[in-house]
Amino acid sequence: MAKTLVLPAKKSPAAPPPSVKRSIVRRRRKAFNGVSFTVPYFLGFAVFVVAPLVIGLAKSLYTTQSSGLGFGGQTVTFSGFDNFARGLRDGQFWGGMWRVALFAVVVIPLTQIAGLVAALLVDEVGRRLAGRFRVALLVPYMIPGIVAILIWIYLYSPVVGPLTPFFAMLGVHADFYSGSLIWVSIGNIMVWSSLGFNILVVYGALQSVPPEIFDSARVDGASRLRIAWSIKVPYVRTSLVLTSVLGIIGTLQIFSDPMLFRSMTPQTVGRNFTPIMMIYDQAFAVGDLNYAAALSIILALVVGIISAIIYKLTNRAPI
Amino acid sequence: MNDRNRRWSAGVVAVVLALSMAACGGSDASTSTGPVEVEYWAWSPNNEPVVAKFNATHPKIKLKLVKQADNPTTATGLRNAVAAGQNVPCLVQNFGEVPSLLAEGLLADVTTQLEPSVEKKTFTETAVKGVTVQGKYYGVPTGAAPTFMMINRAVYDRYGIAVPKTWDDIIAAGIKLKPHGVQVMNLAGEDPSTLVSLVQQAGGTWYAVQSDAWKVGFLSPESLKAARIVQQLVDNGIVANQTYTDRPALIAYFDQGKMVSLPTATWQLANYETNFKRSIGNWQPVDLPQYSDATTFVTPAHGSAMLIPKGCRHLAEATEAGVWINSAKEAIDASYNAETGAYAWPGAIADPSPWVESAVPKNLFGSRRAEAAPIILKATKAGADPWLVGPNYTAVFKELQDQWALAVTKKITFQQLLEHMQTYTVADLKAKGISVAAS
Repeated sequence: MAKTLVLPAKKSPAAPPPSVKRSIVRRRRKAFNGVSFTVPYFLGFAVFVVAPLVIGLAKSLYTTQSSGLGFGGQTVTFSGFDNFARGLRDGQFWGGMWRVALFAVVVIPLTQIAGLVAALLVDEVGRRLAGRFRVALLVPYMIPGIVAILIWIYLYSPVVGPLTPFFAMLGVHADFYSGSLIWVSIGNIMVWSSLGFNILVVYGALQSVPPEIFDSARVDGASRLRIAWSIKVPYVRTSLVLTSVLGIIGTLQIFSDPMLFRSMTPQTVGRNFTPIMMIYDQAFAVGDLNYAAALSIILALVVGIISAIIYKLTNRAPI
Repeated sequence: MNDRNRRWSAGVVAVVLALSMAACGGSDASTSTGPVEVEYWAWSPNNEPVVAKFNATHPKIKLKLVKQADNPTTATGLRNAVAAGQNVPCLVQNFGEVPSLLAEGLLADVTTQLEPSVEKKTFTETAVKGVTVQGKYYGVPTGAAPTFMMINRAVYDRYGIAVPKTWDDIIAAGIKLKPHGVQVMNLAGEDPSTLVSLVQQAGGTWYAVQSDAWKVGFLSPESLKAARIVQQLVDNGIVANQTYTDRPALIAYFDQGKMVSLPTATWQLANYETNFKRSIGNWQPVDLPQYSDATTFVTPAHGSAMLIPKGCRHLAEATEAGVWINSAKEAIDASYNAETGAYAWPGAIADPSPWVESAVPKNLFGSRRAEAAPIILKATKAGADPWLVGPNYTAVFKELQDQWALAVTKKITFQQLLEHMQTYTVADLKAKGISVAAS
């Protein structure tokens, strides 16, 4: 895009003075044409991100109130930051937040390490073999999230699934719906479905490592393990930061997994199990849109702050 | 450039024209003469023949069925439509309790429209109660399906256990069945309806109106009495916790003979008939167990409603259609489902006896099939509705579901559940600015 904007401008000085004005007009029009390509994106951004954000912010500042027996209609009153104060004190909301944070601390490093190791292994084998592995590893990522969860939920089911009888055969009693195993069950789905994407990103980064470095490392007598640890890993660090930040954002907003698990095992997964589940429940089950909007904004701030901290920390560390 | 400008403006004009014409088209259709169109939202199957029959017999009203995906999508759709004040349907299958939907501002007052049918005693008093709030009517009564119990008699006989008549009998049977790896009942983790029904059967209610304020009574004697029964079922470890969401797993489980008593209603029977493989014919319909100290035979029969939303422009026609669907003989006849051989249960009218026979499936009860119809009719007659719900019951029920899940898995006791619900409900009402009477 930059080229098409700059090239005609370089040619125009050769033109006679009267045409300068016209060339400016043409340049502006070309610039306008270039900018117009971004319209669909910004339109979408405005309609689906900015507008809901503004509406959400506005909603969060109001409270819906009734009076008497509650049948005389509702009034919406401005309540300032009351909803936010309530959200900051809400034990259920923060309980869900901690639950998910703890989960994230375990599952995100796990996904990153598994993704990195798999990418390094794929990188080690020949190019043709790698292509086949890449496709196989990507299959889980290509399956839509909800479908993947449904498949796993049936695999996990203690009543109709094959896993519980299989473990029973080995003498292990495994109820994947139970409180002690529920996060393992959800974590397994998460690793399973995000591994392919992580491998793809890291493997892509590995391809851009200059081969001369490997040659010189080999000349210096470095083992394959040493090359992987001291050359490849530092080179893909930025990719790992990217997949980690995406992982954190995705995990803190985890919704569909526990929601579907809830339908199977409501004894284990409560309605406020994760922050987004609580927001959904407030908005669509309880019907308190104002409070739900305030909670959404609090969650967005928390996710933003954590992502920023991780980003800063990992980008500062020396190679 | 001029050319291009002209092209652009021509395009814009065309789009604007197209949009405004589409808008006109919309309003034209609604103001034209001819039959009044009543839009009807429902997700349950087999409404089409009823609607067709209505349209064939009512030239002045055109009922238009708009099939919905399920209960939650209907709720969201209606909330959006009422909030927007546009394309509001005039009849909607019920997805909640009338008082809480009214408090949300979703329902229209149809007192004058429904009054004639109420005076003619088209509906039973219990059914009318289900649409009444503070002496006014909001919706068309659909009544309740009679509750009774079915037991796997083959298993009861195998272990020499008598047919349970009271809840205490159920507990005693459970204790005897436990060593054989058989559970006496199922309490699904998401479904507190067993507790609610027991409170209703005891004649209790969690909400009452006391001089223009709500009196919340989760700790009433009736409520505690109900809690004691469920607590014993859970404490003795004699109940299963299979979810209703995973239907195939649930049916397979019921069919295995590992769970032997099932409070049920007419509409559930067809499902068991079609899907039971091993236990079909072993089941026996019996009266719903009573409290040991009960003096009269009672079944819970809290009435439900067909909703008429606020913003519906044809209240009279909507009420007429709703009344017809829920009470006219030809409407109930038209609801025949060839697959199950049953009619939609006419829960709001005094005499459902013409349709009872068809509600009983052919094979489920084996040689005891003939016992079913009298039991269903007895349950219908004994139906009582002491139940009243408050304006915040939607939120309260969600909280109750979560608490129930904790109680059936022994994380809390049912006493603690009721105490929590009392505090929660009072706090929630007050937070919404609603008056609460001191208890």
